[in-house]
Amino acid sequence: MSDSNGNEHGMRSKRVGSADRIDALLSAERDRALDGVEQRELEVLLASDSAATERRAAFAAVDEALRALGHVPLDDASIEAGLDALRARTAADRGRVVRIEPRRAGWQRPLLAVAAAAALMIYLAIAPLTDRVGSDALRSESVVSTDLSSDREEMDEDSGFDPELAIALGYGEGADFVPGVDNEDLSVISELDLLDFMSKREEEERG
Amino acid sequence: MQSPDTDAQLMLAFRGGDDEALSALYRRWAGPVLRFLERVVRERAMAEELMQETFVRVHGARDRYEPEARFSTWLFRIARNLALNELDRARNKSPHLSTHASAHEAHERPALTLVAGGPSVDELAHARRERSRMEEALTTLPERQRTALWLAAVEGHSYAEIAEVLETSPPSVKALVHRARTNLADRMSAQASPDTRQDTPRMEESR
Repeated sequence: MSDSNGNEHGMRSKRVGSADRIDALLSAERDRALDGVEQRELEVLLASDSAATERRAAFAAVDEALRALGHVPLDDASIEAGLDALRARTAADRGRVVRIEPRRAGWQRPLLAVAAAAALMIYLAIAPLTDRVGSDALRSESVVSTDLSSDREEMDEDSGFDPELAIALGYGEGADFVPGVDNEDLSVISELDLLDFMSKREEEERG
Repeated sequence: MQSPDTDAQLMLAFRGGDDEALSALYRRWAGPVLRFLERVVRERAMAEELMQETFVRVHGARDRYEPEARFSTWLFRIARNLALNELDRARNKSPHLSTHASAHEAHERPALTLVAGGPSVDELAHARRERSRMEEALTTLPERQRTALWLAAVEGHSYAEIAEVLETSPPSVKALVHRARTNLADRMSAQASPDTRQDTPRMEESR
């Protein structure tokens, strides 16, 4: 490091080769970061080198001066004024959190996806048993538009609709497009349809 | 320093909805954070704003807080990042202006929010001189050395904790602290003799 008055360079140049090692050990000693070997090494150096003892005192003075800068408490009035300002700032932040509350719906989407996947698994498990009845029932209860040709023209390419998912959910091969409904909505609808289907199936079995 | 466990408990309580816990943390840490920031940015007004902003960030990050590290380590890391960002902004805005206020300016600014512990006039005069000397010496240190030494000597953080704040390794912190102490000790020793001669008449005047 450069020095404005040149004293440091001159002083350091006079120091013996082990000075840096002594400084390093003394610094670590102040931070209670010496291991056993280093501690013993330092003790030997301190016993044999009076300059090391002076350096130890100089480091202690540095730390004491630093702590004198750092340990002046804030007065109560400043603390309370700061707290008031903090409360005012964070009250605004809380308001912002409330305003962005709808964004939390974002993390609900995975839950819907999981629910849809569960519904799909349930359906696929029972599909072989209810193939004919199930597809008819689902179609009859479905909110899917049957006028596909006109709706297809209005289809948004970015709707994310997945025809395979629609087929798997029981909408049949013709229902490869659901106007205004994306996969997420379809999953919810399918859950409701499945519940209706299960009810109907139970009624049929009872009847 | 307060127990890190109680800091973490307060932060967890705050995360759980206890706003008074944040007030307790503010009362405990506003002073240390302010003085730390003063050393980093060397401008009282900016340090106060950054201290306030640090606690706003703590408020905003409450849901993400995990007591994996000491609370103050997390706190000082937020504070330092804010300070460095602010210094970068200031440099970009006014590259011709030094962001480092002189030690003299730092010493001259009114300490309106600091409480004196009731020492005598002589003690105050001596403390003021020591503080001025240390402030001046600190301004010569690179920011990383200054931060590392401050956190070690004043805040009592371990090298591992400081490494988290500085985003480096504990051996690097050990070297930074060692260099900082050595530099300050050399400067304080070099300044001691002329200052002592100058100080004597001032002390007599103060009596």
